[in-house]
Amino acid sequence: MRAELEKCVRCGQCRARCPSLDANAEGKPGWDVYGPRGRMMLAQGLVDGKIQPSKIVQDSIFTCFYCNQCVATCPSLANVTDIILDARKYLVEQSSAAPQVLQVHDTIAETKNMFGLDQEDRIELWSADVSELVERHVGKHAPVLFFVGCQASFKGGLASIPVRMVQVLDKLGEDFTLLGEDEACCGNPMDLTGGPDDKVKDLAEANVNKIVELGVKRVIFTCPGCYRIFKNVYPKLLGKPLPFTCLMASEYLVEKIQSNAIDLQPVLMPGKVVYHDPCELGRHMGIYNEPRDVLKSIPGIDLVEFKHNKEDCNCCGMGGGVALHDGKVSDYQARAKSADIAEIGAGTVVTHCPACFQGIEKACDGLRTAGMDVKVFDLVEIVAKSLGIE
Amino acid sequence: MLSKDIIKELEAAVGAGNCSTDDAVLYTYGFDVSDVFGKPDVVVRPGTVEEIANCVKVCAKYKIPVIPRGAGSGATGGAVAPTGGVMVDMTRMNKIHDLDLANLQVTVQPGVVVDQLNQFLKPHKFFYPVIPGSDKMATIGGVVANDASGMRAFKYGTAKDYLLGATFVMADGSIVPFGCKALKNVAGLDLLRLFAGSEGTLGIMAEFRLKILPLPPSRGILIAYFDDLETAGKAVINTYQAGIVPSAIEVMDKSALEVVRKFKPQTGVKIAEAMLLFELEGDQDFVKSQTNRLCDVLDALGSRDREFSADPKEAEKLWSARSSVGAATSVFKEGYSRVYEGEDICVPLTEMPKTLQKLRELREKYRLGTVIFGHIGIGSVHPAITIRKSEEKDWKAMKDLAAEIHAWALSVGGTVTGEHGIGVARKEFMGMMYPQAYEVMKKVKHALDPDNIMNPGKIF
Repeated sequence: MRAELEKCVRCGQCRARCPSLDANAEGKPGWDVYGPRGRMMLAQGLVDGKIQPSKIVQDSIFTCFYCNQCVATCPSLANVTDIILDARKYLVEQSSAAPQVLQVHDTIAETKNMFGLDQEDRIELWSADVSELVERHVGKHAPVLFFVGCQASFKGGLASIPVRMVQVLDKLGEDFTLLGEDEACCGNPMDLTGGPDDKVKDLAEANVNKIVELGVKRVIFTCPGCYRIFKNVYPKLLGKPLPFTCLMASEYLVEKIQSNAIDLQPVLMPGKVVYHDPCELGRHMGIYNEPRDVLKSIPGIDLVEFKHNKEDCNCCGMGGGVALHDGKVSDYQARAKSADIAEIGAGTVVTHCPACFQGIEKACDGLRTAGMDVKVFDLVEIVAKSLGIE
Repeated sequence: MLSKDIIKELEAAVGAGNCSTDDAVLYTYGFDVSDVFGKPDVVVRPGTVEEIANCVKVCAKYKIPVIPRGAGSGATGGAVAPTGGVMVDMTRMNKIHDLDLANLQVTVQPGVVVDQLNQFLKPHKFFYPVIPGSDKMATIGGVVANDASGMRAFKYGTAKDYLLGATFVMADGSIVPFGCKALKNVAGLDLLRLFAGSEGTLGIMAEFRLKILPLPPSRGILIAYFDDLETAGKAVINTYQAGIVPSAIEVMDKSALEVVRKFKPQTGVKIAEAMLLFELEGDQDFVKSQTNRLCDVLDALGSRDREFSADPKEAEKLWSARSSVGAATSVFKEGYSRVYEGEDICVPLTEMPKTLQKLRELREKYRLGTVIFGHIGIGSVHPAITIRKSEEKDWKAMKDLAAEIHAWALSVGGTVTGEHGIGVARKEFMGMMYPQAYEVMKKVKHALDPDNIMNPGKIF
């Protein structure tokens, strides 16, 4: 950690594009302590014993959206967000995190999901409209697995994402399986908010063992958080490469498009369509083109770009577990994102992440109040439409 | 530690939400880019000139140090608080107003970032020509307080050349407006040129009327590689002697090119002993004819692998590579991080070839990772020293190396700082550089700030 910290020369270049610097001050220029450079200095201070954990240290470290803009702009190639996650772990170890953050770690460890709900509800809460289809696939041996994720499983408003995904897989004749109530939280919310590695490792082992048991070779995700932790964190925690391939749904769909195995029909979307890059999928995992390639393959879509797009896309406010620590900061950033949507005049915003879906919905709420008609979709919902799935 | 009563008075001056004594907040304000550390007792964030004045009045009453600060991107410890005191963070004051294109001017608050101003002016086809490499973070207040300049300094000058007016908050808290809307003004002593570069030691500059210029219709970038660094130095002199005045001439030696290749491989820079980047401005025909003449000059010196681009996006990419080298030098050598000492010398143009040779010799002698680049067109070189921060012997070697670099600059008639300023890090050289004039400066300082509360320990 010290070596990574020493890469930082405190030039401040990271301040220019950090969303939380202003979001903490509700749009006014924020205190340096709430920006990436300030966080690096705090981490250094904690390591050197020059400062002690405090409320402001906590607020600073836990209001990073993990958007990785700072890493993308750092001329010293300092991995600022890795440092911030380490600092979060340290604060959690010192019990210097917000009670709701500490509670979530316990909840995930006990119930295997961040909502503290019964695992039996993991399928029930989203699959009522496709129950027969789902029942046929849960727990079966198959080469492909769809990992649903907690957000889409338990938040009713997001149910359409897994519903459309299983319908798309079915339509494409894919031999796929689902973990059902054996699916455990991927550990991403714990990893992002400083949860202990051993608890994340327990979740990793549970998921990987079950997936291997089913003979799975490829795992498909609709949540970039699950995808990132499987691909980047699990191998480190488990000390070995995963015995299966991880794919975002867009990567899978691009394969199908390239092999002419999917028949995408024209769809009529409201207005111009703009794609929002989820931070964990874009800057963290480098996936920018695949979702766009899918959208471009659907006739009738008028795809436009935000002024800040791809590597420079603005966070929607739902990243980094900030909403858990301080909902006001998260909400502010969602409102800030609405300016991007208004500027481009899009009628449809497409994203590829259940958390971003919620952030973009918040961003659009204000626009709708102001009279702008704008709809939000996940990428797989659009693909389902294009396949005639209603 | 300041008393609770004093803190209350400061809170009354700026509002409680804009005043902090939190230890973590103070700690982050204890740094700038340099390795000088100094934690203030309190940080205030005024929103108006009057609030600044009210803070300074409290400080004057109790004789407390006042440390103005912009983005904290300075390299000399100029905006940290080695003796404690009240740090005045200007970043809340970030408004641009009174754009007056017909009179070539704009009024800005001190917390406006240089790039923010230029993005604002761009649609109007105007620009503020003082563009340091740190333009994405540096504030106008910090730029003027250090009389900064940057990559186009030969053609466009430094921050003081664009000051038409300013509002000063003096050491007693009084507010003193100065300057006018006219583009020329010689009424009395030029307080603007006195305060520009004074690093907050005479008072605080709280608002600026800045001269701005129309953007040139086109710009072209010519890149040329050289087999030795000294020939690159000679190329600058020959360019001017041929009657060609580029808006910028930048140098990167092999080490800097390696840094760019690591940090921004997409720029496509090649590895050579040296690379010069020339920027030419004007209408397209003029840029083309100047470039052709420049190529003749470079041919005679045996430069190779030249590339030219007049495409704005391509030019921006090349500039971004150059402007990020400073902070990116930490990627040069694994385990080594940049320290800012001996990094800002400026020498006469005729001494540039020898200076570049000397810097290479010193790099070999000390065997620290030293990256060489700079605004060679105006004689500015930034030897960026990198060290292993955990190694005591590297710190000592770095200090010795920096001392040799400074001594060399002075020995050839140059300066220890071309644009970064004196601050704490270089004040030991003031007496060496100006045995008599330094005493005059001290008298000026004493006359305006008899209690030495304005940024004490900097320059003086």
